[in-house]
Amino acid sequence: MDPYLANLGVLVALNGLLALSVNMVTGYAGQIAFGHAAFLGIGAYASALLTTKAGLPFWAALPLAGLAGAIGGGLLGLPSLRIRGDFLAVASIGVNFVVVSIFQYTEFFGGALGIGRIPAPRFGAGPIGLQGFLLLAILLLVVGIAISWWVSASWLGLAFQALRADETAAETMGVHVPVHKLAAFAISTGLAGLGGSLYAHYLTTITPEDFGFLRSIEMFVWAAGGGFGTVRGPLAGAAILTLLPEAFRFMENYRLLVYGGVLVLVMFVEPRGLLGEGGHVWTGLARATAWVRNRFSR
Amino acid sequence: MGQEPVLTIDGLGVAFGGLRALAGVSLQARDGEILGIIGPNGAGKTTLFNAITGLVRAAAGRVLFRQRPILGFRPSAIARLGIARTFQVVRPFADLTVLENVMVPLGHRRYGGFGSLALRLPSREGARRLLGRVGLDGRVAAFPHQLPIAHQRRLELARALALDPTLVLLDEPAAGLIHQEAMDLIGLIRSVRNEGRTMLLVEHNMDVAMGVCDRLYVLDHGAVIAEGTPAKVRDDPAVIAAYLGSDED
Repeated sequence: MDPYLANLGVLVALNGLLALSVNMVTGYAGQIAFGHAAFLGIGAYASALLTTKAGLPFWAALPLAGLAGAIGGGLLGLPSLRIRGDFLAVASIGVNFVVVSIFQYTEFFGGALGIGRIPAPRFGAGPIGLQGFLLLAILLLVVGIAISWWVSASWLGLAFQALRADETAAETMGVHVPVHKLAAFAISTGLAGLGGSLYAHYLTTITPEDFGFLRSIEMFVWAAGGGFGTVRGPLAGAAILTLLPEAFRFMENYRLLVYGGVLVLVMFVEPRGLLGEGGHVWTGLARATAWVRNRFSR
Repeated sequence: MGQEPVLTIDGLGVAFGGLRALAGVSLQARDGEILGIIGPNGAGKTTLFNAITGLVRAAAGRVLFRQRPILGFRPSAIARLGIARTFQVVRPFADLTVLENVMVPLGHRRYGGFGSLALRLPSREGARRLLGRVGLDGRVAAFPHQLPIAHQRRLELARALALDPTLVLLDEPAAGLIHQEAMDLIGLIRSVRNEGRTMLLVEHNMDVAMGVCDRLYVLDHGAVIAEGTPAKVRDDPAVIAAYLGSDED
């Protein structure tokens, strides 16, 4: 397989997983997350340290990285119990900076140089190659999709959406709002932690800047651009916005300009995201498939 | 109708800053009773509901639900104990369908707290049945804002009933309804009582309050100024003064 395409595939799958992570907490539960790269970082550092310093195999470090992300999200989700809306958005950015600073200024985390020589996962005789990573990334994405579907198909998802709509009404309907908010955070950041583990072992070197505010915004934009509150939307958003800069590579310096322009356009025309519920594109697609189905069912 | 109190409120006080919204309110709701809370604007009726359901903190007093003190409980815990309420200004979950709106409270008992990690949804059939009771079975797939206000109020009632409550608090259920709608609502309220549920009703519409309630409490300036059957309360001089204003005001 072409290494360029394989690398691109790993990125698309990883970014899809991260978009689903943001979608869980912002899309379903309505809690703004502008600092989610912190949890990608927590997963990446946990996995890197567990394999390089503690000597654990990747396969043991991976679930622990997810757990570290979930615990971190559960703790750092605590502010969401006291603050809402714009204030939570600002606080989530603060959380991101704090976590990055801890990575940066603590000897244990390797300081500004980060952690290098993170081993590749081993499977059978030796380390997995690029195709192994692609398979692993797709596998983790499937886990993310399965968890997202599971949440949206259970009462848990209904409870998330209820508290997103009206916390007071949700409480009077028997939804324990703090427990469910923290659950949304933990599930979301657990997914980010899994992604972080893949990220660390795929790149073999991680530094604090990898998990800064810009990465958080990227993650948010994938989910928002694709359509919050759905599974298809964040996946499509991550895929398109990962591949788009590649497609515009020939434009060199104008790439970011086009990228940003596309974002503004999408939000202007489809504020619910490209494939969001009730948007033009999704409604049109639904109408088109219904039309086709009618044609063939006669 | 039994005589044991479902709800006992004793010297309940609520203050917002320096404002005393409730100043020592005491009342009792007996099993199976429809109890009306009436009074002029700002009398503290909604605050009373908010204090009972845990939405505002009480500064003084006791609230006993089936002999059990519930002050200080979270609203969701109070809901799970069996006290449901509606809101004066309806508060449906806007992005959820009518059916899903009812499924949220319907799932509380089995899935509340950590039980909500369970995969299964509460039965759609159960939600459909509740919506049928309030005459909304034809609108299950609609979104709340697509319904006229009378139907949104019925949705509120269906959500409250989904908690399978012992006590139902209705905050101005007839507000904004035309006469026929209000009369239909009275029938609905009676049918809910006939299932053995106790009801507390804040109501501005005197026809509704007088027509459906077994007893009335009259609130003014955060205190109970009269109590009794609708006929007795209607002729109470203190009540007339509170509604029409007395010479001292």
